[in-house]
This record gives sequence, C-alpha cells and structure tokens, in this order.
Amino acid sequence: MLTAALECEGLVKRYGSLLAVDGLKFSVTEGEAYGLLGPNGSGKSTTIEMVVGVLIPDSGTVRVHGHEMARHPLRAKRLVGYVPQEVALYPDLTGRENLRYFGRLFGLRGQRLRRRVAEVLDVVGLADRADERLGTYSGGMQRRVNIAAGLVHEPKVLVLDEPTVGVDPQSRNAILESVERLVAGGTTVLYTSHYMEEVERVCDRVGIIDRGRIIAEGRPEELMATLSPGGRAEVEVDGDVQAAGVAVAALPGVAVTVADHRPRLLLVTWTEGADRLPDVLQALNGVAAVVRTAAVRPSLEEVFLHLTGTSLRD
Amino acid sequence: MRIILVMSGRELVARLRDWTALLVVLVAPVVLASLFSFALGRADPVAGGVLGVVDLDGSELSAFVIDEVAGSPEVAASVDLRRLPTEEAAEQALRDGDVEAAVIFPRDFGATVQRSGGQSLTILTPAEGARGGIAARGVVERVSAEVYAVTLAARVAVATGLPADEARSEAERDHARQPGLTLDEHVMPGGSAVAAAYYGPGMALLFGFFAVAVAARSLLAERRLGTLARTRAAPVAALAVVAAKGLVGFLFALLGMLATWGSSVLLFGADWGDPLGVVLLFTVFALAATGLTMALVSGPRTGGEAEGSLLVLAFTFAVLGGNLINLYRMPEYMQWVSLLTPNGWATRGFSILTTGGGLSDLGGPLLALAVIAVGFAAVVAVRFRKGLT
Ligand SMILES: Nc1ncnc2c1ncn2[C@@H]1O[C@H](COP(=O)(O)OP(=O)(O)OP(=O)(O)O)[C@@H](O)[C@H]1O
Ligand SMILES: [Mg+2]
Repeated sequence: MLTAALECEGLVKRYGSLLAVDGLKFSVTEGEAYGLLGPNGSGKSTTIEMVVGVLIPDSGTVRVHGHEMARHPLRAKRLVGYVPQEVALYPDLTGRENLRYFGRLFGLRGQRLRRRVAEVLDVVGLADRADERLGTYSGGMQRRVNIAAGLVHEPKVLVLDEPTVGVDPQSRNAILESVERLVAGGTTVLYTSHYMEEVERVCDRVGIIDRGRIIAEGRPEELMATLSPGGRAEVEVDGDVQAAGVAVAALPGVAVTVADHRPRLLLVTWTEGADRLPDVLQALNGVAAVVRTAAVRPSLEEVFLHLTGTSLRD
Repeated sequence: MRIILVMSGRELVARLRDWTALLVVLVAPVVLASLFSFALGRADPVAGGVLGVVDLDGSELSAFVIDEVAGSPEVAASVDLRRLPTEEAAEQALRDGDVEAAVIFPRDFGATVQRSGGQSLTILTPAEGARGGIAARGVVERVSAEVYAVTLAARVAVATGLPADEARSEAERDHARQPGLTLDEHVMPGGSAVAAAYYGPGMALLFGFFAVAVAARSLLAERRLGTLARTRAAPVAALAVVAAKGLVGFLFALLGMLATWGSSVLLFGADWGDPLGVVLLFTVFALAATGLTMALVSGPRTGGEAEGSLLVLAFTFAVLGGNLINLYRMPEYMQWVSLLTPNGWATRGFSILTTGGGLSDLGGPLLALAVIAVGFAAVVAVRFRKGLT
C-alpha cells in the first residue's frame, strides 16, 4: 500500500460565525497530484493554510508523511513547500536573495543552497533577472519567484494555492509546465484552482470544495463523466456553413449553433456518449472542409451547477 | 539560534536598503540631540559670580543644608551666595544682573527629603544664556551630597544610637551617594544649559522606544506582506521569528540611544555621568522596551491598529516616565506612577549618574528594568505558543 504523503481529517475553521472549513477530509498518496477545485470563498486558502501549519485548525488533524502538524510542526513543515495565493516575498531583496533567504529558513546553506537557488531559478525561467530587486519585477515574474521560493528546499509535498491567478497565458503555461515536471519527478502536489482545465491538466485526482466541504472527489475524467453526460466541441469549417450545420444537426442526440461573432465556428453539443466528434466529422465529410476541432470541457460553473443545483456564488 | 540570525540579518539588510536603519540609529538621534542642545543653549563653563538662594521652606533641614553648602570650600571658592526672600525677588535680582542664577528650595523641601530622600530644586537662569547655570549646578550637587549625608546621619543615629555628629562622619566617610536631588530649571524666558543634563537622557529614552517600534512595525508589515505566513510555513519556531525582530529592535534602540548620548557629549559637551553606567542603563532599558513592544505586537490577531498604539505607548511612557516633563516636579503620586514605566526607572538611573553616582548606586533601576524585560519576554513566549498568523 502507498503511504499517504498528506492526510487531513475533520478539519474545521471558523471565523466568528462563519464556518470557513467544515469537517474537511482528504488524503494524497505519495507522488500524486491532488487538486482542490472550488469557487471564491469556498475555503481553499483556509484549508491550505491549515495544511501547511500557518493557521491552527479549530479541530481536526493534518499529517505529513505521518508527522502530525500540531504535535511535530517542525518535522512536518520541513517536508512541505508552500506557495501562497498572494505573492509573499520581500520587495527590497532581489529575486535570488529572496530564494536564498527562504532556503536558509529550511536549513540549506553553502554549496547546496547556491546550487538549489540556481536550479529553481532555471525551473521558473528567471535566471537572467535574478539579481534585480523583486519590487521591479512584473506581476507574472513575481508569481514565478513566489513559486520558486516554495521549491528551494526540494519539498516532498508541494502545496500551491491558485498559482496562476492574474498571470498572462504564456506565464500561466510556463507555471503549469513546471508543476507538471515536478509531478513527473515524483513530487507530491496539492493544487487549488477554480479552473477545471488547469486541475485536469495537472492533477491525478480532484476534490470539489464548496462551503468548506468536499462535495465530490475522483479522477478528472470520472468527475466530468458523472457530472455532465455527453460533451461539447468546437468545429471550425471552411465552405458552406449553413449546409454543414444542417448536416451535423441531422445526427441523433446532437445539437449545433453558430458562434455569435465567428460565423464559421460551429458549437456542437451532444447529450449521450463520451465522444461524438468522430460522428460529427463523418457527417461533415464532403459538405464542408474542417479547419480545426477542439473538445470543450465543461466549465467549473457547469460542474458546480450540476452538483449543487446552485450556480457559483462569487 | 542560527535561524534567528538569518532572520535578523535579512531584516537589517532591508532596513539598510530603505535607509530606516541609518535614520533611526544615526541621523535622528544626532539631529534631535543637536536641536535640543541649541534650544537649551550651550553650556559655557563659567565660574564665579553671585548665586541667589531662596529658602521657601524655612525648615531646620533647609537652613542647615544651606549653611553647610555656603560653608563648603568648593562653593566658597567659586561663588558668593546671596539669600533672597522670595522667588519674585530672585527673578528681579536676575533681571537686574545682581545674581547670575538662583537656586530655590521649595516649600516642602525638608518634609520630602525626610520622607523619600529625593527632592527637586528649582534653578532660575537668565534669558541670555547660562552663565550662572554651571555654578548653580555645582551648588546643587553639593546640596545633594549634603542632603544625603544629613538624612543618612539621621537614620544611622536612630539605628545605632550613636550621637548625630559621629553618625554623620561615619556616613561621610562612606562617600556613597544616592539620587538625592535633581535639577528642575525654571528658565526665565530663554534657555538653560542645566536642563540638558536631565532632558538629554530623557530624549534618548523616548528615542529608544521609537527605534524598537520601527523594528516591531516590520512584524506587522510582514503580516500584510504575507511573508510572515510564509516564514511560519518554514520549520521555524514562532518564538524565533519574534526573537529575530526583537533583536533588531534592541540593536536599533541601543545604537540610537548611544548616538544621542555620543552626539550630546561630543558635539555639545554634555556630561551624563559614569559612561559604564550610561551604557548599562541603555542596554537594560532597550531590553525592557523591546520586551514590552514585542508583547504588544505579537498577539495572533494584532493588525494595523497596533502600529498607532506603538507610538502612543512610546509617548505615554515618555510623559509618565518624566522624559518630557520633569519627574521631580510632578505631584508625588505621579512619581509613583512613573515607576510603572521603564522610562521612570531609567530616568531615576540617569539622575543618579548625573548627580555623580556610580555603577554601585544603579542596582534599583537596573534590577527593575531587568524584571520588566524578563517579564514581558515571558509574556511574548506564552502568547506565541498559540501561533503567529
Ligand atoms: N482572516 C479571515 N477572517 C474572516 N474571514 C475569513 C478570513 N479568511 C477567510 N475568511 C472567509 O472564509 C471563507 C473562505 O475563504 P478562503 O480564502 O479560504 O476561500 P478561497 O476558496 O481561498 O477563495 P478564493 O478563491 O477567493 O481565494 C470566505 O468566506 C472568507 O471570506
Ligand atoms: Mg484562496
């Protein structure tokens, strides 16, 4: 049996009368990437802060590789790397100095510290700007240093709280790639987000969190399959769009509309079957040329609506 | 321990980079000490002339002390004493230039000395400078020794049954002094050099508190910055985090106070008394101020509102502790209240030093300050068990 790298049980945190986390329980096996997916205010950050030992739970326990956070905080913390939701670095130090500092807090020094700092700067692609003050970096660059600071000490368990919020698509991709590489390298990851596609890309398993409770858990494709039967795709065509639409709509159980501002883009949905895209392409054969196709994932909004019957509160 | 140094080191680098370190430990103390010295006038060591003495008390003790002082060779060699009936007469004499300065024995002089051994004498100096101030101060120092000898003699006589005369010579042989008297200059519109001897240390103490507050603020700033949470996620005890901040605060306070002292001594020729005593008082006071301030900012939910209260605290303590208003001029109950502040104790310590006392006389203030420091360090330790978020 695999050891649990991270185990949370019965986590509760109240802020006055507000129950921010309500008896949360989940566990992450070693080498696994686990995603906590939930809307704003669902209790993701509060949970994460208890997991990394920054916030003390009202009740419940957190165990990291068997070390209980409340009893042996130093042993547990040594194994964890924390990337907070907001950039938490010293603006008057350079990127490198920030990383060296946090490395030292984890007991790194000398040659090993220098090597690790250089390595993580490479991981986040900031080696060339490392000696400028953090305050002069762009928001996206600061976010990347923010991540690097959680990695310096080679944590066995990496905890990232919405690391891609507020960065451009390119940086976002770079961030996701580095997380994927870490997962491939055997790091256990706990990742929060409110983007389904991020969690799907990075995580082996997902827990959907609402009002401080996990309301569904499973592998991303399992979740999506149970959540929204059927699927969606975008198909861009060249030629007679009208005829193409009619041909696709003729398929049983398939509906089609034309995108509002892109007259050659068909939005196709079906209510049964995992993937009807091959049928759609078959139907278009000889009617119009297909330029591009893309499967459309259900949004968190839809998954959430399906699970709770309410739309996402903001 | 290494972790504490790592954290303090980062803090120091940051404070050096944003110039607050330089401001706190050097610029502000020197500027303040300079302003103060200019405002109070520079001490010109003038001896000689005529010194007015007003005995509002008229008690046996005050009469005795004045006679003794007038008869002492040091005083006789440098000044003539002229007895004046009232404060108004003294002011008039000053205006007319008949006296260089005047020492006034307050109405309750004898009673207070016998009750507590401490008293405050008022010195009148003319507006245009402090010509008589130095002489007046010499007289007061002499009076201070006299008062001490007299009270001690009385006590020894009671305790041992020796005749008063013998007891007195016993006491004098003993050469020890205690915080008998402090000066309370009453400046006829203008300035006085003597005040620097009291208010210089007062400034340093107020400043020490501010310096600690600067370092403590950064704990609050780190809470906002999120770096405190990040630090707490590292394998570092909460207490070490606060200790690191405290260490920087302590250093700032100590260096700032040393700079105040140094500039008032080097630039303006002030004399604060035994240097070793001054440094010791600074050190223990800085520890006490650090403990107190860290206890204030270390609450798990302490937020921005604490920043304001740090300054309020520094000022309140300075006022209550007699750093801005002369302690020995305040009503008696206020003198008791001042003992609740580290400033009050340190002020007593500096009074001992400026009236010529040495290390061996500082036991009380040093002990009290050490108790305050240790007490609040314990409070901090207990509060931090609960975490620091
Ligand atoms: N320090 C605090 N004091 C009071 N309430 C808080 C505090 N921190 C969080 N909350 C509340 O607890 C609930 C959960 O907040 P949390 O930050 O954990 O949500 P989140 O899922 O991380 O949201 P987001 O996606 O916006 O980051 C929210 O209703 C929030 O308002
Ligand atoms: Mg959050």
